[in-house]
Amino acid sequence: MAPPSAMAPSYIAARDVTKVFDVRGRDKVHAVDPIGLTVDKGEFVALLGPSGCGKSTLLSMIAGLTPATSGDVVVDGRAVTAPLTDLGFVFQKDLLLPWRDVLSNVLVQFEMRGQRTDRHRETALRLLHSVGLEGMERRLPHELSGGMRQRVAICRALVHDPPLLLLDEPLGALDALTRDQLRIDIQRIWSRDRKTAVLVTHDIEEAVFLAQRVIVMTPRPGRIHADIPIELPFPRRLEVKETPEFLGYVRTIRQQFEALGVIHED
Amino acid sequence: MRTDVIRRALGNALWPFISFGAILLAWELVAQLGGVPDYMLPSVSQVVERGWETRDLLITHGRWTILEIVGGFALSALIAIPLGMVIVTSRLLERLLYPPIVALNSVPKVGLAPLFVVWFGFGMAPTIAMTALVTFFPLLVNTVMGLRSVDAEMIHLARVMAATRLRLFLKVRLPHALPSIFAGLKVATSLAVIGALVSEFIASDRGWGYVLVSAGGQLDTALIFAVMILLSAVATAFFYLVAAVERLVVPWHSSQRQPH
Ligand SMILES: Nc1ncnc2c1ncn2[C@@H]1O[C@H](COP(=O)(O)OP(=O)(O)OP(=O)(O)O)[C@@H](O)[C@H]1O
Ligand SMILES: [Mg+2]
Repeated sequence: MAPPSAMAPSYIAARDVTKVFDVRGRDKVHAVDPIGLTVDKGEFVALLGPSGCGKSTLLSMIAGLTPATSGDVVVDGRAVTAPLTDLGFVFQKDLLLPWRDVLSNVLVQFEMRGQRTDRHRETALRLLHSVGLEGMERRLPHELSGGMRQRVAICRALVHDPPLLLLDEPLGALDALTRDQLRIDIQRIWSRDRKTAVLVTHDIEEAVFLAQRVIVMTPRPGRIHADIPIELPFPRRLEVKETPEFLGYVRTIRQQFEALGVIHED
Repeated sequence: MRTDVIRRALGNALWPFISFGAILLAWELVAQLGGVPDYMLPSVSQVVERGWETRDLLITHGRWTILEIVGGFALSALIAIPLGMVIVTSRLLERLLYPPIVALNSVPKVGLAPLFVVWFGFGMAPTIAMTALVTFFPLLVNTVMGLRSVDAEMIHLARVMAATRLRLFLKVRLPHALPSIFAGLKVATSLAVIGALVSEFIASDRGWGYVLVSAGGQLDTALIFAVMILLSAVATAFFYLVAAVERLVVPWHSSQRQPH
């Protein structure tokens, strides 16, 4: 059998990555135990796991924002040693700059890179319109609802057309209806561009609805417990949630968590 | 729309007018009918009269004091705010500079006024130095805290957007810190008035502080009250001036939003 490196290279390859937080004066925290993870180009993968299991840490190591304690991460053929910049990152908080209007909060992506923004205005406006924010371009963040704000954050992560999208519980703070809408939006955008996407979530339905593969993580220290391909055809409409196949996946994953002791009935 | 704004402003001004009026009325009644000797508590009318008689003196000395207040405040802001920025950008500088500055802050600064006379002589220089000193710490601390309080995830976001340190500073940290810096500036306005006054008590033969001391020596209580009223008015105007600038500079901040 050929070693993994000789096979068709994955877009993201994390090899035996671990993370130990060594906060002075406290016990070491093993956030991530050896994890091996590969994501192919154009694939949508969900990292699913209980709170505190190291999902954000793993994502942050993939992006080069947090150095791994051991192991290595390769993205697009290059070892990650510094923050990646050719990606879009959406965090749980929208992180909009309160003094900038909606359009300018999207265009900040270029400003931060020292690029001129005028030639990207059209792209930004088109993106904003595509997620239902037409007429909101001049609003300040505090004039928007939480769902609108998160949409702006998503546009900001997409406007420079990055090949990779990292989403850290982007919908965690939203109500159920808005969440459904934004899941549809995210899926539409992903189906159109087929960017490689890694979504962190602790919502089983969200993972099954959006991803082609759901990776179930154990409680801290996070390891990969199961890697479940979701073979539901795209585009997935909300009705898919009532199909036996969908419910079957949700049940399988819930049983995994039960087996891990994350969920227990009594 | 416009008349609406004016009407609201007038409405807002009305209530403090009523409370101030009531206080003045009570004062006048106590002073006139309460059997308190004039040199203890002059009546409002006596204070107004005395203030009017001495208006030339009050204006000359007032100009001097206001100049010192604004000068010391500006000097302090011009040093403290940039210093705060420097401290935040470098861990080494922070460790080097911040602890001694915090330690120095525990010195009761007005006690240094006699020393400032020795160092800077008599008159405006020691007073500006004192005003700058008493306003320095809140300005520095508010700048440092404001710059530091940027969300760690915001910094991460800026890094994946390939932001340089300078751009992170100019486009994220500094605007984020402005509300905190303005909070410091507003606290500093009243401290500046105190600093200037205390310094004038001992280090000057000009200014309202000096007028207060000499009026006290002559039991000229009405003049003391007149000066105190003017000082309060100046301090209040100074505060609202800074608040107005704040409204222009950080209209987006939650503290600036009018509840409807
Ligand atoms: N900077 C840090 N210093 C010390 N410990 C940390 C740090 N960041 C994370 N941890 C710890 O590492 C563990 C994993 O954190 P992480 O944020 O990756 O979890 P998560 O899976 O994203 O959880 P959630 O779903 O609640 O966001 C947690 O126990 C956390 O306390
Ligand atoms: Mg997390």
